[in-house]
Amino acid sequence: MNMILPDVNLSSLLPELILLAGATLLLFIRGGDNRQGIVPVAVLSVIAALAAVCYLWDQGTSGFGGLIVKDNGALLFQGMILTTALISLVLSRDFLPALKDAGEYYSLLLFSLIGMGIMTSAQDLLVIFLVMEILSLSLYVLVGFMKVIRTGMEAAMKYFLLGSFSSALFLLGLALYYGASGTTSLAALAAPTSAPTLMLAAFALIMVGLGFKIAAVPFHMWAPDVYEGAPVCVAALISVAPKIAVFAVLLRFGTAMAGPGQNLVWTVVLFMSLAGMVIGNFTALRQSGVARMLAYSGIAQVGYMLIGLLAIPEGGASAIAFYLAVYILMNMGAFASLTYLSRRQQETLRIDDLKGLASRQPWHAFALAVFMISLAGIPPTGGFFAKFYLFKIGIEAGYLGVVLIALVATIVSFFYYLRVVMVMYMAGEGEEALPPLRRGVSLIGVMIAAIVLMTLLAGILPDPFIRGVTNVFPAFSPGI
Amino acid sequence: MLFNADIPLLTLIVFLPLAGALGVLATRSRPWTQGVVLISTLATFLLTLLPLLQFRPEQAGFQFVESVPWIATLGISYHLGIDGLSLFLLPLTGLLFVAAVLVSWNKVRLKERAYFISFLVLETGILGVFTSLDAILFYVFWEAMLIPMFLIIGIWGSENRRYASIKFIIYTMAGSLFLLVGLILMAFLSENLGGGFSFDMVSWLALNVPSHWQYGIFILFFIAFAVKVPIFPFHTWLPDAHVEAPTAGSVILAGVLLKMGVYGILRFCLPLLPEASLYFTPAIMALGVIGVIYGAFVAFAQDDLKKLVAYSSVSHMGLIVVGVMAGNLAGMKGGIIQMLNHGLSTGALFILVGALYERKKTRDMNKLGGLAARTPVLATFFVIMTLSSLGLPGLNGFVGEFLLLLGAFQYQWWIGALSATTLILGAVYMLWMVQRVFFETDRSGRSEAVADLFRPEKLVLVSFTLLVFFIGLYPSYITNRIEFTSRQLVAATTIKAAGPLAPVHPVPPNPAKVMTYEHDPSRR
Repeated sequence: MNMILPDVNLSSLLPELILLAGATLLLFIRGGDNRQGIVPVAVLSVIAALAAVCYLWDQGTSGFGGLIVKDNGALLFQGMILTTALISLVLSRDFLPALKDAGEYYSLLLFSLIGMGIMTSAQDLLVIFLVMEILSLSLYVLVGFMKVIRTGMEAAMKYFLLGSFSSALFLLGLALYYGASGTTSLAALAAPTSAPTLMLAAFALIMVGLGFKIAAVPFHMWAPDVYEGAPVCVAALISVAPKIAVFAVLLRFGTAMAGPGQNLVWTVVLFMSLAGMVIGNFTALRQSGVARMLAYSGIAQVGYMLIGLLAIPEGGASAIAFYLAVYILMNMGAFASLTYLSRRQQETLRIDDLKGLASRQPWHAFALAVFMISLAGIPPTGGFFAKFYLFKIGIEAGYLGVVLIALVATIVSFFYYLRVVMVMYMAGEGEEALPPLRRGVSLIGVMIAAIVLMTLLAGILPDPFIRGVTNVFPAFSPGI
Repeated sequence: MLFNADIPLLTLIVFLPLAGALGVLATRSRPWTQGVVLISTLATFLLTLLPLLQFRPEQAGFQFVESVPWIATLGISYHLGIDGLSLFLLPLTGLLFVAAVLVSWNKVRLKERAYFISFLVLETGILGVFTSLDAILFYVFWEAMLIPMFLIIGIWGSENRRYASIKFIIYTMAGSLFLLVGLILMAFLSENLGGGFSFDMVSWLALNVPSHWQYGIFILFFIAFAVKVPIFPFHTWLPDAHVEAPTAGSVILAGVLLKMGVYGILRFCLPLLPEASLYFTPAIMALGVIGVIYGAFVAFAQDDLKKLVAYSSVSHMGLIVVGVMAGNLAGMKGGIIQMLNHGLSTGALFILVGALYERKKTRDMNKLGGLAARTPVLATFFVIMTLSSLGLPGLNGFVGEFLLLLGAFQYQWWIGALSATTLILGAVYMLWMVQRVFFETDRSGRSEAVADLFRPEKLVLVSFTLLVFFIGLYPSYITNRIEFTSRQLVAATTIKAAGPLAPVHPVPPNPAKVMTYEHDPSRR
């Protein structure tokens, strides 16, 4: 047996290597009262990784014997993840107290980015499993990072236990997949399998693992606790970035899986979508904490996005990418507002604490209102066109009934999104639950303003965004 | 010619209020704020008058058209234009917003800038709805307009405002989401029928939508518009919203927002889905007639002045629906004219009721009375507007109601007869209201002096009164300009459904329609 070294081509991992360098460097920077250098190093490495993504654009680099393919689809998703991370870094800088171990925090954050980055471009289930573990382990620690918060520790524990369980199931699915196809490569999906039942079981288990990461119903139980217990900046990251990575994987799956034998899988996705929309939206109605409300809203949003998965031949990938891009803006914006309001506060922010915000901080209330309106999908915000595009694709693929249910779920969602607006604008002053007013210009304030502008821009001139994603997605290689 | 084709007049009209809203942001003191708001609404109103001067009534199709691609990847364009249907709705909107600003003059105590910004954004939304010819553009304006109205009711309304505002927005949003699905389906049909995936309403007009699609899409469209009109079972948001909204908000709600529902039916349902329109006509007529009678009876039972006017709106809007669905020229023209009339007279009534409330701090008719002697000017305007609303010949209401009833009688004599009860019932509750509020003895138990109307309010009401007489005495100014559009709308249902499609998709014969067609003198 002659060993041929596979063509390694390290440049296909350029963004990840940059992040790795940054993460390693951060471990050596001493924290302390003046966390000089930590945040800049983290931000710079994310920006350098973004630059690397731009550099690799249109090159179609692949490496490691085809295990890693940086096609434009992967790069687009990775770019979105890195943008989310940038926002999250600004939030962390604002929210975290001067911890001794701040370097570790940012280092772990970068490690999770490495995991997500490789997930978008991996062509092999084994690689996907490995990087998913890198991602998850970093996030487990980050959730419980502020040891002073008891709920945070509890949330981290829950997240860890359930997460490892789901990873185990994923691994089992991977084993079955190997048994059915004789390979761990995604390319085997396209070929007809000799053991369809085994393949189906493999898919089911893999869907459990992936569904857990995006909090798709019925694997969503961890989300509310984690969103509430984790530091706001970590919750923000968890609410968006892993979803982008997992949807990249799901899209590769879905694009490859055209065989009629996989009909049952689509039914599963269909039910996950419906259950997400219905359960997420109805449960969100009853929440009093802002973070929990956003958690259930996120569960519902995943339900909407799964419609795009059902409609892959009609351009579901572009619709999901556009939805995710807008989702970054509106969800990170909402979490940024939350960070701005609940800075260094240990108790969780309730919706009623926002009472009278419009009188005290009119601009900030306006920003939060824009994010809520966008999440609800009301024009002229980006959220509207994101939903519109998704529903259009869904109808085109023949899922009119699903879209109608999505509409009803959307109507339900108006209640809780608009409730935030009502509380801010239509109620009198609340008790002094909010921290004292901030004055002057802060980085986070500027960032929120920028996100508001982007959200509105995505609703008024969405054409460049949409054209961008539709140009990319013919290039998204289906697991080959 | 003041404006030639090179200047995007409609864009100016639609976005001038939005520019005004940005201007308000920059102001720091009350006089400046009010000044900027007044100037921008007045300028918008004057601009909306320009199309009246240059409109060519005999010309087919849309005028003042502007079209540029907007979201080309999804077949959406920025396409504006007006025809006889929207021609008069623009100045009505402009005028009512000037009125809304004037009646709020020096009266807003809370977050004044936000108040006026909401109104200006609302105006942009409404004008956008009446001018857009692209379905998604229409939808964006249609929905975007709800947020400022939601805030107006919710922030500046009376005690129960939060309930009313969320009810308002949920009802209308729920309706409009179905509209969205309908629009997307239409775009796909346009693609299947060879027109390309497009949301352009003008190109949709040329489509012959297959009949098995028409019914479903019609229902999706109709729910959205029926909520807005509101047609009988969908009307329950209206009394709450009207009663809780601040005066200026009620004026806009009753004056313009309700018209958007009828406008939608005339813009989408009738011309695009003629077969389904014909099929559903009896049901919609029935709902309309129920609305007419039910609204009138409920209005009759109210003690709250604002509620009474709100329910009278349900009744009047029901009559408009009956007229426009009757499928004949008289009803159609009557419907379009009555949209204006209702905007004027109900808008004015809400202004007067609001003024009364400010002076007496109650809207309960049992606690009012004998005001005619103490506020003669207010009483005079009130009586004029009441008479206009119940259709006294010589005033505008008569023209609209007469044509509407004529249309209803041409459709089916007994529909006409049932609808005509609006004349009697309307007279009963309206006159009884006037009697209880302005005559009889004062039941408030307080005999202090009551201020009469202030100057801005007088200004508004004088202009409204002039218009009421103008339309009442010279209706042909309007009928001439809407003639073409009305003919087209009537023809859409009769010709398209019974004509070229007939051999392909046999339509069950509709005896009512055939009779109308033969006996309609205006069709010869």
